[in-house]
Amino acid sequence: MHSLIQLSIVVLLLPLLSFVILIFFNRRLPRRGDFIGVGILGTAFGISAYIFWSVIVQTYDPAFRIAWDFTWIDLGNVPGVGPLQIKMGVVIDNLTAIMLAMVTLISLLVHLYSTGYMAGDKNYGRYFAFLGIFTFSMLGIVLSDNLFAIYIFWELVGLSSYLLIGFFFEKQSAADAQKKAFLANRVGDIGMWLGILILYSQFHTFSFEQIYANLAAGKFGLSHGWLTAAGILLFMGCVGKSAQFPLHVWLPDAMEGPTPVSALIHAATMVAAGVYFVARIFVLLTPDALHVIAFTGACTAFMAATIAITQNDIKRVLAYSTVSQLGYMVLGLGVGAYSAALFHLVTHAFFKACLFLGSGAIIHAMHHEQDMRWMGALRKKMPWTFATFTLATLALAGLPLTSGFLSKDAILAGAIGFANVEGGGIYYLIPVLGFFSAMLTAFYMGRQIWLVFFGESRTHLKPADDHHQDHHAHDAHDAHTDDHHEEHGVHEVAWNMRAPLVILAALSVFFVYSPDPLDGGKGWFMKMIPTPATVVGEANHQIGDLRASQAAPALAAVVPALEAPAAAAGEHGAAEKGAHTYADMRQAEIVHAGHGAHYTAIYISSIMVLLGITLAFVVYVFNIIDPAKTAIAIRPLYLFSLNKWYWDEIYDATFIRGSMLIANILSWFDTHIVDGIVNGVATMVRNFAYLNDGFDRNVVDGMVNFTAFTVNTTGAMLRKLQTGKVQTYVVMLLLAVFGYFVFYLTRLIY
Amino acid sequence: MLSLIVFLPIIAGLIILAVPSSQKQIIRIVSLLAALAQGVLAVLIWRGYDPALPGITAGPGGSPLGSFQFIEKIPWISLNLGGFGSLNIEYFLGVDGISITMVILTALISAIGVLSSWTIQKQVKGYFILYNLLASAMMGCFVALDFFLFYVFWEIMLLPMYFLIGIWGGPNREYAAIKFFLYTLFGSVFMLLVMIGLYFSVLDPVTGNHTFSLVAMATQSNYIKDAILGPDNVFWRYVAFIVLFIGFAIKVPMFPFHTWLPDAHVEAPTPISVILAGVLLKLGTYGMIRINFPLFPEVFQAGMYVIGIFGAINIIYGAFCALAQKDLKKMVAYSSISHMGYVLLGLSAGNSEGMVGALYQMFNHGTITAMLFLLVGVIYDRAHTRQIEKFGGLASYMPVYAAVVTVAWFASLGLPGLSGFISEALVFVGAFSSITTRPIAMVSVLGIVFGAAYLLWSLQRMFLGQRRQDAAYDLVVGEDGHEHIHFHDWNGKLDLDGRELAMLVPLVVITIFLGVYPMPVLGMLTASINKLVQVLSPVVLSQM
Amino acid sequence: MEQLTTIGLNHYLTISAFLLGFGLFAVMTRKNAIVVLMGVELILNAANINFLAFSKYNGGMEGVMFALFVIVIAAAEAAIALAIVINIYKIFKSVDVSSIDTLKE
Repeated sequence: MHSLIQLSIVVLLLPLLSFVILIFFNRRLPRRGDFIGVGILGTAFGISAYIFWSVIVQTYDPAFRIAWDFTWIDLGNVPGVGPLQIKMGVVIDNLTAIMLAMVTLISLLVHLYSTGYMAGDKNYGRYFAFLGIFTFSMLGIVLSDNLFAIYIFWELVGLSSYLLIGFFFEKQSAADAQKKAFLANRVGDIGMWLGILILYSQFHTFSFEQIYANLAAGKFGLSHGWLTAAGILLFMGCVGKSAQFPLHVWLPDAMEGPTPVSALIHAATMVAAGVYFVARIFVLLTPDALHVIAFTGACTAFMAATIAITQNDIKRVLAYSTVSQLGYMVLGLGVGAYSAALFHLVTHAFFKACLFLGSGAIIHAMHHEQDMRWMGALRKKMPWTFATFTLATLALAGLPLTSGFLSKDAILAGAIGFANVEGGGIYYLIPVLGFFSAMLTAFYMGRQIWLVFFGESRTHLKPADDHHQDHHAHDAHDAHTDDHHEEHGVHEVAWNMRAPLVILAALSVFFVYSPDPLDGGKGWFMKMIPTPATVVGEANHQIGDLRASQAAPALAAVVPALEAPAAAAGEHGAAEKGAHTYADMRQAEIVHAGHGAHYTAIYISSIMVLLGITLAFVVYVFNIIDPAKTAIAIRPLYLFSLNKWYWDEIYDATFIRGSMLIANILSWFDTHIVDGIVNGVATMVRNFAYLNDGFDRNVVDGMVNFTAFTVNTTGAMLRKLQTGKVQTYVVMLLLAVFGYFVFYLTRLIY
Repeated sequence: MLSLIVFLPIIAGLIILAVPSSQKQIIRIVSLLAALAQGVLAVLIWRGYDPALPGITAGPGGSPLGSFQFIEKIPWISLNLGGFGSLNIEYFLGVDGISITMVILTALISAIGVLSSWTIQKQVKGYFILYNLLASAMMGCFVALDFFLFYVFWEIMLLPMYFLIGIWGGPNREYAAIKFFLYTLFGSVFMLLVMIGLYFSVLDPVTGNHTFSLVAMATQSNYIKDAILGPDNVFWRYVAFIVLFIGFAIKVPMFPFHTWLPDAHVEAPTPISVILAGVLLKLGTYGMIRINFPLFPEVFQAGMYVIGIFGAINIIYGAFCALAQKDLKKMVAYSSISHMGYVLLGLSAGNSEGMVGALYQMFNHGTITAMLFLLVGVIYDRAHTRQIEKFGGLASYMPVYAAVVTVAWFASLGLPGLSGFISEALVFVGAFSSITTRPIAMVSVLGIVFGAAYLLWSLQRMFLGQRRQDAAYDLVVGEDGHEHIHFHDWNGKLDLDGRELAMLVPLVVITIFLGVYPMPVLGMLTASINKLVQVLSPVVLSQM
Repeated sequence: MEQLTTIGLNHYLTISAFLLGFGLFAVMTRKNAIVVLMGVELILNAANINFLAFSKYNGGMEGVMFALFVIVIAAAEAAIALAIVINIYKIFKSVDVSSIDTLKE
């Protein structure tokens, strides 16, 4: 076993240890054991940082990969298959190393931040335990080398998310949200599970490596459509976990959880797991499946952005922004911009965590006021928060010099390249939606910054009954809220909440990732995460094809191609026009074309972002356009956005009510029809028995009784003759003798 | 060894018979000791078990030796019937992979059932005598390898169950008890007929006599060609398979023969529900695996699809019905129906993954559902109601209880890391890998969502949020200034007490352990299941 | 007239018939058990007379022998019967035969 593997397993198990210690002993430990959580995560991050350093900095090899596995379930010598084992294992490549460091770092920062944010909660210790099991599960997803293990940790992540969303379980809304999150995830998981089953049924293994080797060798026994189906079904897992349309509804509700949890789980790590998973299965996705993924991502990015512009809850804006950004990542994978999508995953994780923690600081300082309409003018009171929040916002909006610019731009470039290669038409919808969403992002983030940090303080504008309700809702977890009032207590947060903000904001700047502020492709990240070669090409069977042979060098040179001059790549793509029916060539082409579209993307996206920011200024700073009047002017659209496209209502009316209706019908069917038949049969048998009984008593027994009756009556009559007196008998004797004589004599005479 | 483990509870029952009925504590302790001794024996059998031996059919030379283990085989009833030949019934016990897991499960659940019976106050002596009789009969069923002996244990089991529900049950207990009794009896009558038919169709390869031995029956070459259930008599073999299957399906219980189960569960006292769900239901599927399938493999091959469909109906139909229930115990009862559907689905796959999954699911359902019913019993003891709507916000007041419930509920909905997940996953893997059952598996996965739906919804309504207005308990402010809840008519500990923890903690530990490392159970199964799959496989059948 | 002056068999038989008639009458109508017994004696003696008369007019000794037996047995019978009557009296405090009808039940 490689020493890095050993270390990674230690990293994996440390948070589990934290969970076990804290769940059982938190009440007996000083400070409810929060130092254990922070300490263990610190250790885990330290080891992860070492792994990151060894893999990325020291080795610096795009193809780096080490793996180790063990037999978990041994099914013996299975008839028809041979010896069959289900293995568990760990794989470390560049992506794993980066994710490992990212997850542990953000988890550590959230742990630290939570020591301030959650202080005084009655379930303080349990909170850290839940963070521990979440981190464990998330690291499990990152490290797993097979689909089964990923599915296991996938569900465990769902569990920890369930537990943390419902951390304030006394609140009805939190309890609803946690259930909704788990069920929406389960719907996605069904698809993922079916996808896994399709692959397993062909290869009798869950291991990525073996599945890909078998696929590449053309051993897939079912039709090509099944492989596309497998890809789309596996992607459904991502739809659920990464809150893609149409399963995105749970993520905004998940903001019922504590804000640091939103930062860790519902912004930076867990929701990114879906994207990570699609990246892991990227090579088996057929072009058709990739189209589905690309369109899903584009729709999600656009839809969430349109909703975010009207939301008033500071966390909900961020939540929809998260959904939108996840849409970008999925879009990126769908169009084949593999490296860019994962790049965006990492940059987004840092700046979105920073935004959430910043919003947490604001909410904390405002005593659990979350509605932006009643905030304002916090810039002076919370300078640190303001600075970090603004930096992260710029990154999110995608302004140059930030990390978000590099990654988002790479995705959009990939989208343009994709549309070019696919031959335009409907495919241009994807980059168009992407750019339009970029503008909307800039707009709603500008709005948020303005509403929260600038202008006048509007705490006093809040309606009184609204106050009361809000307080009541938060009573459950924050007993000391009542004594204070917003205006008095607003001040900058303590160091343990400030430090994470600063670190995360620092990680949102371009030079962490790339020396060139305009091109992420020059940075270490894109170099270390090259697009892997697909394993589903029919080209394997058509080696003799001229176009295939021409494309082969391009495929082999995927990594260098990234660095190739854009113009050359564009020409190459044009020369190979029409070759995209072969999945692997198509992939290589898209990479080239995406690179070619790099500067186009920069220009368009910069313009869109500036347009968005300008619009936000026009509306909120200069008040040239009054938002309230606009809302009235385009009321149907405004309501459509405010009510989140009515997805909740639609789902409630169809799936939830539908399920309950079916449940009630089936339950009625069960008690009345199925059981009715059983009871009916029982009644029939009983009635037949009664009938039989009647026959028995009246007819069969009747005859017996009749005989007895006859004998009895006759006897009763005859017994009258028996007086018991000897003399009577003598008289009878005489009479009999006399009678005999009469009889005898008569015979004698005649 | 096996005789001892079977008859130990009856011995305890006889001892109890001699104890005056006023000595309740002694009666309980005798029962507990017997159950614990049974547990120790089960562990010894487990330790002495060689997982490499396959079982299912006879070993080399037609003898069960070298295939089954812990064999006890002596002639029991030998009657010369003149023209009909002779009646040879053997006292024949033995275990293989598919029964040893059930033996361990039975010992475990019996012991937990005794602990759970501690609160029974009515006619303690009679209760424990019947309970021990039941425990013996269950164990006997799992180790009997002679069909006649199996049938005897099967029938003996009914009697104590009838009284345990009918006397110690809830308000509608007589209806439930009679329903249970008649329904099962209905199934076993057919079993008797098939059993006699089999007797006249099978010859023991060693002695040349007719035999009731299930081991001999599992080898198709032992059948007389033109006998009533011989290989030539295709029609009667189908009929025999179907009626036998119905007999076992009633016990499973399979839709549409399931309606006795919710009634029986709702009326039965907690320990009897635990036994019923934990062990008795397994006898149905065990019977299928031990008797139905290997004796009529070609009919099984033809009927896989139908069995799979019924499995899927059980899964989804049970889940929907559970979603609609207002009584917590009824919900758990329907969840049992749903989970037994996974067993049927796994069996219908006919491959190793599916069948291993099905058997593992039987074991896990035993432990998990036992836990669920115990937990329902805990809250029923306190609140005297099981209406889900009568609770709310319990997690704040009974944290330990809520934690155990959460583990049990999540185990039931198949969360990875808990044992139920692995069995469900293997069932799906198997069912999907088999081309016959693939479409059924694709539909059945819906059960994963609806399973989560009804469990999470009940969890939310009972434990999360705030106390409801019409809750079954009051809020009182305690001496420490915090709010506590108070149940009417309950003076015990609010949260779980020691006895309840003693029942639940082992189950929780087993559930977690087997969810992380399933090989201790799976390792015993695989050889037998692979052998069974071989016996059932069309390739082997076509060579006959 | 000669028939009236010479005593023949018919006279004996007539006497015997009358005696039998008286005896039967006593047995059937009297309520006192002792009177009934006396009636029985009369019947027996009527039979005796018949025996003796036929014995004389047929010329054999069989009738005489039967008559002797009857007398002896009648004595024994009377003794037993009287004993029964005494016992009946002891139980029923009466010798009224009409009240002794326990045979009926």
